[in-house]
Amino acid sequence: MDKKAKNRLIHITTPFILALICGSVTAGAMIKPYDKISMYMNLAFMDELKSSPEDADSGLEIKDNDIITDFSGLTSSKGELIYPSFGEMYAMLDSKALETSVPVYWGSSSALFDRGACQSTGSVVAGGEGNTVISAHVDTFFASLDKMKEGEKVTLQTNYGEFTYVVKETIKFNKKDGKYVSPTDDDRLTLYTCKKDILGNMDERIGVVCELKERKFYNSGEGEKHE
Amino acid sequence: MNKLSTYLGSLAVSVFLVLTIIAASAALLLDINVTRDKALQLAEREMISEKVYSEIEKYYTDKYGSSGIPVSVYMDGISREYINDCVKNNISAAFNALEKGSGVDITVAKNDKLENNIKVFFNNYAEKEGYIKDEKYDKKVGETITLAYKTIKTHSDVYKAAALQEHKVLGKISKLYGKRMSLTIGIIAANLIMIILLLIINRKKKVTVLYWMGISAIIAGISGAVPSLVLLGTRFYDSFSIKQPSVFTAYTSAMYKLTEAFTAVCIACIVVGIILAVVYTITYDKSKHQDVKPTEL
Repeated sequence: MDKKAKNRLIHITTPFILALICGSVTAGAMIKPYDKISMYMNLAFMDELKSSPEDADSGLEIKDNDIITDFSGLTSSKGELIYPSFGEMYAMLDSKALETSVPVYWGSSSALFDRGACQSTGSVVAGGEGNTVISAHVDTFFASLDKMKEGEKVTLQTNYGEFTYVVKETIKFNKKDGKYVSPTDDDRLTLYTCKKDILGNMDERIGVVCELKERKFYNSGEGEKHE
Repeated sequence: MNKLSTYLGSLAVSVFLVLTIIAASAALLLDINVTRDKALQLAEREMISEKVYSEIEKYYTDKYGSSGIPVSVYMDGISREYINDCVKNNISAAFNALEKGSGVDITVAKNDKLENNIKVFFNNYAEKEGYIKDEKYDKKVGETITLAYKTIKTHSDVYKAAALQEHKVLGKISKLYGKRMSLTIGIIAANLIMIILLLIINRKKKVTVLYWMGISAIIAGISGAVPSLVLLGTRFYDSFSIKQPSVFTAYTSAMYKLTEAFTAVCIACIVVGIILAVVYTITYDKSKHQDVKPTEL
């Protein structure tokens, strides 16, 4: 190889060598801080879908189901619970005091509160073992919740069964107090709303605790005839 | 480039030159763009106060279910101009905290109309319900007014300076922000030192410095421009976790603006590098044939 060709080769390969060294130096220098930086980066940029704020609300998929209210087949006290997806209407709540049937959505958000009552996803679905916690706005679906009295019947109808509860006690608690909305050993339904008193404490909640009296799971096989 | 020591010395200095060019570009950009005026201009351009206004309106609409206070009680007393002023004041307060290294002092201007609307609403409600206006009543009205100001304050703090301060992040940023000028000067000085070192190493053939500077600028430009273009092309910042419209817009618009500016500077580096390389090639060829003169005609 003559001197001219050798010189040209050096001129051409040098930028690549330089780039390689710079890359290696940078990579080497970044090994230690990478873990810390990547943690912050993952926290700050965790939305893989890259949704805009306008789309973020539409991430909630509200699903309205037709709930069976006139089941005439066989029922049994044991059956399979069906957990709905977030934003899915999965039950109808009925009681004399509420006057109208209230649709119950799984999960809570302002959009769902506009459509019905919302059930805490940390609670058990209707008919399940433990505490079923449902809330709604006092100016809409639970406007008459304060009229509910001890001994009153409350039903939750779902597409897998019908569950009857009876009001055991009326309750009053601060919204920060988790006593009534926490999981319980007994099977119960907790309904609550805000206290209808503009001049009162806005953090105060009122409601009822109901005891599970009857489970009727809809069966396609053997069981009792539903009435 | 015949001597190996000259070559290796130049290569080593060029590695540092590449890194300092990238650092200088980034530091200069931050110095120029991360300022109070630029942030205020950006807020104006992106109409962030409009987003804040809509958020407050939505907040009170949602809140109506639990508070029983109609949204109009608040929103009739809150004008768009008032929110715009609050947003500007909060941005200024955030930069004051950055510059002075002190705590962020976010204040919301007194709004007589809003206060009056709340008082009138409670007064009418109390009269309708036959409620005695006692100490409890006054306390409730006072709490509602305080809460209204707090809501406006929280929503108009679009860079979440208060939250950053609470988590002790603002203090750390403030320390860096205070040293930005000396940091920029230091990095630029480091660039000059690298060039001087190249001149010393290549003192016997100074034209070669153009080659080293050229390829350093090209590599620095490519190293900065490629990741920046990937960030812009994939709209990476759209994955920002906070989806509150005003905060999302404030942060992502600033990040996109900075990345776009950085990409432009990197592309400029590439162009400058190419020019230096071309000048070197021409000069190098000339210097090889400097004794050969064209035949006189």
